[in-house]
Amino acid sequence: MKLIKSLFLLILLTVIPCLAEDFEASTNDSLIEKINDAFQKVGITKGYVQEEKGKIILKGNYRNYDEFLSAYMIAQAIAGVNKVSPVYDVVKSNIVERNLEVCVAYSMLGFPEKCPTPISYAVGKENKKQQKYALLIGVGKFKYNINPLGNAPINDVNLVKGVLEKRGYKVYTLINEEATYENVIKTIRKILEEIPDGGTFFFYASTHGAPKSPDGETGIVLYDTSVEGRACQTLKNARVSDSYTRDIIITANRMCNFLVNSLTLTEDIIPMLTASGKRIRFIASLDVCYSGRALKPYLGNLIDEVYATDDKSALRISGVFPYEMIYISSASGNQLSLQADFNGKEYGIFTYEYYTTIPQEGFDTYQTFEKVKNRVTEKSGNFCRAIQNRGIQSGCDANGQRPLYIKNKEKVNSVL
Amino acid sequence: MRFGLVLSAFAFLSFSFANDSALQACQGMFENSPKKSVLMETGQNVLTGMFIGGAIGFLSGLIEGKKDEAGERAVLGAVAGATAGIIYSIYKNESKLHKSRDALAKELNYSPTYGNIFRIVYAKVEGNKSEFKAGEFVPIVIRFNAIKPNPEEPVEVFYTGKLYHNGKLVGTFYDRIYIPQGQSADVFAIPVCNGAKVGEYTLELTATSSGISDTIRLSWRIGG
Repeated sequence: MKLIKSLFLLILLTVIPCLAEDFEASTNDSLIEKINDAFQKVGITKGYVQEEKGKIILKGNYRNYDEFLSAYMIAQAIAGVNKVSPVYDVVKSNIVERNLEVCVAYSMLGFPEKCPTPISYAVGKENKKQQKYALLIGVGKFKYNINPLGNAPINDVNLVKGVLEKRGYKVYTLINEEATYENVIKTIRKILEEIPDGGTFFFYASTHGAPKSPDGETGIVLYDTSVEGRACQTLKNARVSDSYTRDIIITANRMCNFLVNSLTLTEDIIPMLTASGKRIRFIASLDVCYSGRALKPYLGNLIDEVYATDDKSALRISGVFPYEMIYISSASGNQLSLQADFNGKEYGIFTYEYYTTIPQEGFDTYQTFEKVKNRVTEKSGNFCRAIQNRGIQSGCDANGQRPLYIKNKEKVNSVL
Repeated sequence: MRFGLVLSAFAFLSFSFANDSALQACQGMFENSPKKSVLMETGQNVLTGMFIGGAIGFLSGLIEGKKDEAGERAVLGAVAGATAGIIYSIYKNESKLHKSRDALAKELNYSPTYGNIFRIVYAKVEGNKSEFKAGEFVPIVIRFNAIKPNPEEPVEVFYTGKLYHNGKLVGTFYDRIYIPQGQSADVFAIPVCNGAKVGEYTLELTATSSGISDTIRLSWRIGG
């Protein structure tokens, strides 16, 4: 009897893993069928997925990168985030119309404006007298449904403007309604036309900040920034007939809900500077929430999104921008940035502490950072605890904001 | 070598859009992008494999003196040949275009403590041709070495490009893509649309990933 029981147990132990494997295979088969079915229904007719080594891989032909991205989002919506690879492997799939191909082809034709991903600018006449330019953005009210910040961002801009003008900067400001995405890009282009080779460009923003995409870099919220599902145009235009696919499309569309018309250092400003062909020293200072992750595509996922200020972090972003770059954030990548009352006027806590101190420190950005960082942490911590004690729900860090100072070379000119 | 031959054939593909406007002509060329030739090449190998397999099967039937079985063997041989052709083609294309992360890591004695590796191994205008005319495609292949400490993580490549015409900057742009870890290629086929300006072109392309940048310059000429 014991022998029969043991044999039965042995058979069970052998069969169960096999059944589990079969079950997993059939589950994946059904997922793949669902994904391919959804592709057809939204008009992605030549793309499909297959499973390879436990990952779902995009294969076949895609009209452009947007269609590829839409297909990826659909596959993720059905199979889950970790199961689908975003990789484009030329052996397995083909994006028929790459942005680079379109840009070069139309530029050779004399229509560079037809490029879907331009970094437009014009090489202008050099102004040899003016070496330093700044763009300051302050947004306290917004076109769409985003909480207003009152006058603090405008006060911040005026404070920083005063400091920079003392240092000989030509300062451009964009306040509230003026700070639309289009205006910001136009103003940067104008500055890049005017700035001479070897000049300095200082960029500052005081407004909301939010991850531009799920787990992505921080986008600077502008007057006309909204949260929409425009990242995947193919999905937006998809016409679906049955409710099952509609559910999938709605889910995939939610995953495309990125900040629209927000500004990033990594996708908007730095590529424009690089492409200007001029040797420009770049200093950026952001007083926005999650500002510590504004360089996330370069720095990757670090523990708690807190970046060290040592040479190691400098090394990690070396090569991103060929000339000197300094980035000063008001908080680390997982923290809110607070604003508070100073002598009857509201300012960002970081901006007030930093920019009222910098003239006393010989306008040295690093020396000032070392001088004020603990004060910012202490004041913002106190302020956060005070508002939490009043029963106001806030995601602020009771331990205080931790500003960051990141540079891309071991030795940079840190003076404004 | 096979892929090189496919790409060199790009140069001979031409389309007649003489009567269309320049922009429509360009759109038409994109719709006929010859990058698909990589996949078509697999089909050619299938046909070659079928022919060779069929011939061997038929001959073996004749040698053994069973003429009535020769046709049957030819069919079986063709099937076997087709299979071998597909496998051969996939293997050749994959080995030409991709080296696995493990193989590259071994080759470079990579250890996770090295952090990220990102480098352009080579970039070239394929097909030993430097002059193109309207209706042709400029075929570009870029090959990367890319390794990250986490083997599962895809590699995001951010391109910034500057296009110079006779030494003057005419346009700047960006593109981005995720590629697999290991040694892998990115392929472009740039259409020379009807009306493209004649002269020397230089594309300066900077690829950035994980904070590491590498820049290449590629040149070609558009003839009249």
